[in-house]
Amino acid sequence: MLRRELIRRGIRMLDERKIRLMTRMTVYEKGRGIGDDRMAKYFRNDYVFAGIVGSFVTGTLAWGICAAVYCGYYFEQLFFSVYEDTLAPVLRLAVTSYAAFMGFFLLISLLVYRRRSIAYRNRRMMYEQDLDELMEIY
Amino acid sequence: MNESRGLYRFRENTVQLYKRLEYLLVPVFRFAVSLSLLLLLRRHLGALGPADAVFGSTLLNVILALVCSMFPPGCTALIASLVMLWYLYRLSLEATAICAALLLLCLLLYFRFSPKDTMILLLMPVAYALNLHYAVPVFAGLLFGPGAAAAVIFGLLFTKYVLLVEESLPAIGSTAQAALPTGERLIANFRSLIDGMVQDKSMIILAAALALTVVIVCFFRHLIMAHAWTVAIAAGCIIELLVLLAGDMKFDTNIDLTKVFVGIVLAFVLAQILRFFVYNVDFLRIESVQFEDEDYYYYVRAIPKTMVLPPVTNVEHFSQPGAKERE
Repeated sequence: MLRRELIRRGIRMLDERKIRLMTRMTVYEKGRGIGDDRMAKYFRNDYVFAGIVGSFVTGTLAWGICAAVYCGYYFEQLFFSVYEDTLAPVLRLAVTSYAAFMGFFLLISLLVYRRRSIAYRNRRMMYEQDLDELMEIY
Repeated sequence: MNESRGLYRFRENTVQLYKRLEYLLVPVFRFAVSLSLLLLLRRHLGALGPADAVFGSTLLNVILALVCSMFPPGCTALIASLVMLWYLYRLSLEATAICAALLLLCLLLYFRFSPKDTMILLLMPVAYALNLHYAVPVFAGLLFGPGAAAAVIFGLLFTKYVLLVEESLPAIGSTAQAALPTGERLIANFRSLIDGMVQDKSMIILAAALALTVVIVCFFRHLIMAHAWTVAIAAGCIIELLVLLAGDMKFDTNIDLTKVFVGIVLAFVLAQILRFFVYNVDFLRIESVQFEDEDYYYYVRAIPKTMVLPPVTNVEHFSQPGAKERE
């Protein structure tokens, strides 16, 4: 009865603006915020650098797997190359392919991590804006 | 007009229903995808070797699918990978080694970036079995970024690899092969499988077409223009068709044109249905505004969502005169 009367007079017991802000902030905190907390530990360039270092390791492992498959496929030729001491072309191919593959993979990694870092900053900024707005209400 | 209003009302009702039952529908969808994947693996690999007491049972596949439905798609990918390795291990050591190498490459190059589009990777084999694989890159381009091309390619790679093993297993286990010493036989089988993958031009062309489609769809979707999604879908389907036809003409891959046309038409229709539910805006009511502050000029174009008001129901009460007095 009291609630209906308050609404009739334009007085609302629930502050919808506050609810909206708090809901949005909670959605962020429980969702993307969890992953963003990990990113918050880094400076922007450090985050990108750490990502690239990780990509360097995984890229090298991936290239190693491809190299192992190549060695299995050309096992006999490689065996004779070792025996006849004519490994130079194989080594040249290995170095060239490694450089090309890593160059491409690290470039992709750089783009991905930079983009993520920018997206993180935007999300964080919006969250902090909401936080400021909420603080003003109190 | 009334028909389109009815459609929009249907859309609103469906979206509301989805929102209400999301907690149920998402696990059901995951369960369906996981079970389809496990049953496809059983059909293509499980039926080849000696009867498998472990994964041959439908009940176990259902239980695994149920487990997958409760976890994120990454878990389904892991379980499906392990099941695939198990089947291959029973058939051929070389096939297992190549599959393990492919899985490791997928893990190192694709899962390294902890992607959100793992579902695309899982959907690809199921869609391939239904001839709907032309729709997957269009969906990926509409719902995810250009990075989803990696998921599409890996999905296709695993699908084709399973089919290749299924096809070449009789050759691997032939008497001519069995006569060779173990080491030579292993290398010969290993080579024949790698050759089967590398020399499969139709697969390479298909992978190129699907990857290009993801990028093209994503590019057009982000353009600032009216009907961007429709243009993106049309452009994606046309590019897919053109690349496949050009590849067929250049490399003589003998693709089944009827299947390709049907698949691409289905892709277009399904993508339009997706657009209807996800991105339904009214381009006739675009509003362009321009304003400025101290630092910038703003050119804003607002496109309203298509909304249909719920039907107003008038309930008329008929009561007999004097009924109130009697009460």
